[in-house]
Amino acid sequence: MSEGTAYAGIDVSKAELEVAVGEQAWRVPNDMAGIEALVDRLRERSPELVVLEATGGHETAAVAALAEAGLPVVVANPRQVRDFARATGQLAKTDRIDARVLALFAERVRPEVRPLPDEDAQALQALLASAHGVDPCIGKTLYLDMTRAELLNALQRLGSLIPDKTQIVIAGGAALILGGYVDRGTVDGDVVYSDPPLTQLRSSIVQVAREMGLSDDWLNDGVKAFGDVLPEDFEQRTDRIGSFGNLRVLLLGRIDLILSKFYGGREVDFEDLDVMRPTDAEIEFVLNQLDRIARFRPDKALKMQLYLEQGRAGTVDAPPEVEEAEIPHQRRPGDGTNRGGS
Amino acid sequence: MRLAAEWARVGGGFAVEPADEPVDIEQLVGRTATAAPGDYRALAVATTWLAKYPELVNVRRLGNVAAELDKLPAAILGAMIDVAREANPAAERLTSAQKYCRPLRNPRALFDRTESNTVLRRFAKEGALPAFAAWGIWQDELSLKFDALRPISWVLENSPELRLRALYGPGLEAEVMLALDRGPATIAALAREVDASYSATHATVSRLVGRGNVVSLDGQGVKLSAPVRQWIAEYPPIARKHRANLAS
Repeated sequence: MSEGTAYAGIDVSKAELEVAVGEQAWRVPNDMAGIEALVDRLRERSPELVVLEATGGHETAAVAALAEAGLPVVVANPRQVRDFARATGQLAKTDRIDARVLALFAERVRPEVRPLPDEDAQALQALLASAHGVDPCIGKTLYLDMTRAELLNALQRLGSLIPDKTQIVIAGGAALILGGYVDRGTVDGDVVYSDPPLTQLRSSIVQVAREMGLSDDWLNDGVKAFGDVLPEDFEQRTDRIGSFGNLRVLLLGRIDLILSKFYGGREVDFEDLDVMRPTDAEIEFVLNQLDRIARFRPDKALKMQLYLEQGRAGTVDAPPEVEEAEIPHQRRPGDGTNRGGS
Repeated sequence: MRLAAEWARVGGGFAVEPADEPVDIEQLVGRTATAAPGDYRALAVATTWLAKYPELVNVRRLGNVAAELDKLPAAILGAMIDVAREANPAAERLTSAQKYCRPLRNPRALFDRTESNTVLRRFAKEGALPAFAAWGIWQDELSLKFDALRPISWVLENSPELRLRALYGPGLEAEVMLALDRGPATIAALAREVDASYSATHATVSRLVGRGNVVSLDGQGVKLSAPVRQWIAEYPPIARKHRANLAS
């Protein structure tokens, strides 16, 4: 290995990632925190190539994170690596391919990192196809509570199935997860806007569900009506996740996500708001939408107004005397009780 | 995180690694009711689980768990059972565990956040669902997520501790069989292990002996019969792991 050029091998198990780069070797847990630590440390080494072995899906989260970090990652075919190891005398007693073998494989074989058509889709492409042909179907795992990588997998697969150019805007928990705001799973992806309508994708959505063990409604427009809650210019604030085949995926912008969470007003929405920590400007934005929202959901607008005016999400008040308290009169459009107006 | 892992083991759709250890479902329900004021998702999954798989719940044990709970979690458990019943009439069988649950004398909001916030508390009270209000709890929304639970085939494959219940029903028979899976035992030892009276345990063992599931050891206790042991030996590896856990 030439000085300054590093090749990394990662042995993947369900619980751990064993990493080898040059003479260094270390382990991290195969979870979000461990993968983040792995990415940080590998970034420092700027390896020429990172090779992992396909291990039935345990590698997907790490591959996605490495690819997203811009590291050159290849998921190698286990048989090819094993043949290489035998040929080079690395498998004397056991059949185990460890991280050092994978690093050596990376250096000697230098499997090609396939150029990907879209930077944003790189993480997904790394999950689904490498120069050495990982099975594009990532197992038959039931992704009931889909992680970010799993959701991206499903969108990638959907994009490969649909025949026509389609654009969707995702809201709700899926948007928070895809946008990296929260680290949790979600049962489904809520599409607030779709062109053409999501119903036209139904057969492809179901096909992805069957292939990946998802709920048939893993992507749905159950929150379509929520579109009325959004300001008319919400599309200008969307964040682009990527284009996967014919599918262009956008996320509701942060400020509109915050608006939607205040509108939802459930315990889970406030939990998400705790994590998102809206700024004063974002709170002001929400307050400025209340007159408009009050026209079709005065009850929601009232709750939002009262809540926001007493403090931010997560603020804990003194124990209330609610039995005696009265809710102020229901606010009407244009009554001037909000701070700004729509 | 621990609750999520345990629910994941019995089919709850949390994006976490399922717990390695066997799950005591009744204790898990009780601990979830205790954690509920700060954990919406666990509450939703637990209530959905009760609605979907009531036939896997040992109602006597659930009642014992309810009797040990503090006032708030006991009331929450009562509401969870009512919500489950509304969703699935088969969950009616769980109501006998409710006799250990009491409505709160001083009603409050379900979630701590709501309870401590004047506005949220007021709205929760005004919109309280009847199933919660009957237990002195104000909560205006609980979405059961049936598509967030794995199918029964997955549950039984991954939770060997529930298989005997699936075969024998969620009563004393399954508890006795599970105890005997760990080795032969006397009736008295079994009664202690399954927390049942001697006479009830004796009657249960007699039924199992009569059906050939259990054989008597000539005054030295009882053990699983050969066919049952053979059936257990067909378990996938996770069952062997389960037994190893129990032995350790």
